[in-house]
Amino acid sequence: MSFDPLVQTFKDETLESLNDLEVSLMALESRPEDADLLNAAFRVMHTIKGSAAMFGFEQISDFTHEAETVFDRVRNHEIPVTPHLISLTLQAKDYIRAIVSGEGDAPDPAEIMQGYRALLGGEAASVAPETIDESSDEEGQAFLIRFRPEPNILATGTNLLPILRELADLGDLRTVLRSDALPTLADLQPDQVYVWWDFILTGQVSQADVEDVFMFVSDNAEVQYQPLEHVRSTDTHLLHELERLLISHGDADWVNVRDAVQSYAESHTHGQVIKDEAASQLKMLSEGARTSSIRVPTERINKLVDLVGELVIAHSRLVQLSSQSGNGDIRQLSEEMGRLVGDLRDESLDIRMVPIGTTFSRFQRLVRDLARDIGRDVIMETSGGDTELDATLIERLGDPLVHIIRNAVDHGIEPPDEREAAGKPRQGTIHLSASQSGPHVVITIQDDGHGLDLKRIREKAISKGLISPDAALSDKEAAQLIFAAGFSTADQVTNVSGRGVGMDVVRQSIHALRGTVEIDSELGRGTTIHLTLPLTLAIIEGLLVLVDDQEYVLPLYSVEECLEFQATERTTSGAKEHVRDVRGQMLPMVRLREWLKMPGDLPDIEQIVMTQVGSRRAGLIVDSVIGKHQTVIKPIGHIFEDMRAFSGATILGDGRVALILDVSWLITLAEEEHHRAIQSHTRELVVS
Amino acid sequence: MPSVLVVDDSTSVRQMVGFTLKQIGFEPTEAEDGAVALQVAGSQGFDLVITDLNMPNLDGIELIKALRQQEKHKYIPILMLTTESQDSKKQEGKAVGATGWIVKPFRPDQLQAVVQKVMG
Repeated sequence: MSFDPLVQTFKDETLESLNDLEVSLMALESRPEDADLLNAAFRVMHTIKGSAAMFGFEQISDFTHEAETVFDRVRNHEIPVTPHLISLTLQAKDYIRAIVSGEGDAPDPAEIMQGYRALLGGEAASVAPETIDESSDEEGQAFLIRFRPEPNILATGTNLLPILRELADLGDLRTVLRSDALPTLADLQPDQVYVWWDFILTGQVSQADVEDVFMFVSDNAEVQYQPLEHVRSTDTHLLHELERLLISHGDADWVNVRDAVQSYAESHTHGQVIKDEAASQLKMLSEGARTSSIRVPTERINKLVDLVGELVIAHSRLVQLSSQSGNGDIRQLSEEMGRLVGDLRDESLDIRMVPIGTTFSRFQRLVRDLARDIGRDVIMETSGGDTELDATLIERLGDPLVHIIRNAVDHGIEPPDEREAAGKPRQGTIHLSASQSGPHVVITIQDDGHGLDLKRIREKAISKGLISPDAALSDKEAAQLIFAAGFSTADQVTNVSGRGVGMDVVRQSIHALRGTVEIDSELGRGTTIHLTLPLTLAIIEGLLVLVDDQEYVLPLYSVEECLEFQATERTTSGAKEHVRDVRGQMLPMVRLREWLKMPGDLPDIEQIVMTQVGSRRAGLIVDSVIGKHQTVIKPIGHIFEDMRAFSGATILGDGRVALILDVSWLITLAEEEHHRAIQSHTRELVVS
Repeated sequence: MPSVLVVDDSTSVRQMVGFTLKQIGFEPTEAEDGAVALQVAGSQGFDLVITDLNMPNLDGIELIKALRQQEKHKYIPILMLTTESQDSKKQEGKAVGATGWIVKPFRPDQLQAVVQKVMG
């Protein structure tokens, strides 16, 4: 680029101005108050200062800055015009001329500048602010940025797309367009801006770089920045998750968006234990904070679910009446209502579903504090935090879980020295996990502590009279002893637990939730506690069966299949069927009629309902299977709490009550019957 | 070719801006003060206006105000040439509809960068 002709123009121009300046200065000597002359002098200095550097005369730029400042004060009457000022300025003029023209001797600029500074009251010369060179972080930075222009911004001639492009040029840019405020076409004014953006920018950028992009529009737009600490441009997975979070979390309130993204980013980059917590938080945030979400008190939701339950019951009454009526239209309507009621049931139960991750994260703190108090080193890991359960269920799980975890920390994990001596890492781990298995949630609490000492447990149980000395208990059964009331092998009653009231209460609480507790343990290796809980307390799909003239409900998810059982197939050795060969497998059976002690003859054809809970299976023999039934679970009251065979009741369409059978318990019953039968059979063999 | 109106009472500055923007494909027209600029803008439409603020006859702020009243110049980028000490002027300019500013003294590449920033 050749500037030479331009520089020449500048030179000519400047020299001419300097001549004018000289004339003005001379005139000022006799007319020191003349405003026009003062302005003229000021303007010359101002112009030269503004352009000198552009044409290669940087040194006079600084110089003229002082002069300009002084004359600005002079024309504002803050500094008087004196012969000294005039001669100083004439010298300044000579200096500039000499430099620009390259001819003649230049007076000493330092002296002149000093003279000006003295006039300014010895103030330090205001130097043009240096551009702050903010070198960007070597490893790159990440920013959350919001750019929300005023609707009127186009009236400033601002072009929005170049701004976005400029931002994109800074690094890797993820853009989320917010178009919720777009009006209909009829209401749209083309010169108004209705949209805005949230971005995540990563790259070798500093905040100054980003601010630079928006420098002209910051007065006409909402521009917000939030640096995202420790997020690298290489964290593509995290960035993807953050983008997804942004997309689903389109809040007009910057603070909400910023907090959501920041907390997710923080929890994720300070990883270790919290990966799933973050996932469940993400799910919670994105699900719980969609643009039109509302907070609802739990009470209202519970009420809604109750009403849905009532609706289900009323509908089943309708089903009964409609099938009796023989009216095709009514039956069709009843079916359609059935579908709607089913959907309503699913949706309303869904509302109450909450990821268990929040409950898990409560325990992090608990474990840390507890471990510290009793001198252990324990960390807690979690997985499956995004598994969802009914909110009321989660609430009631809190206490039992706390107790189990406390036990694990206190009695499970050994002191660091002991662990080291056993070849284990000094730090113990407790692993909480949750997963869904059909209509159940399985929660496991696993520790790598010293496990249950079954021998001691047996001894203690004998000494407490809980079992007889010659009882043959399997390991699993022995482990279950710790749930017995009054049981505790802790020699010292620690502050935390060990009073012997803990685990039995835990089991009761879990049973009250219609769940089961199982324990697995290996001495020296650790203990695992399995909790199996139903997903919801409220409504399930049930199978209605008939025994004598009574209906009972079996949870459909425990039912595998139904088989016909002809009278001719019954063994002749007795009415009690203990086992049956089903496709090569010997399955224990129980006839409900017998168990319930119903009088009367057996029907010619019975039905065997094959049920399964976990790996345990059994056949339940009933008179007949009626069909599927949407079962609204009603609790059967404290009086019946110990009746483990029934987990609740429901109201049938005709208003009668049907009891819900606890399949797990019945399977146990069948197994025990089978066991007894074998023993007595063996005895018979021995005797005879 | 996009057209730019360059308004400044300093010939050398006008020429310098014009020359620099020619390098990036603009067709410059010069005006030595706001009044002349308004006249020129009345008869001809421009894609970009760059104006100094301190000028005789009609200063920069008044010029910007008037330009924004013209239909054809309502939405074009208008840049102010300011000096360091003129921060309040920048605000004043924005208030009457200026798009942005360039601080004097500037290097040619800085001028080009700002123009490209607002033009896209």
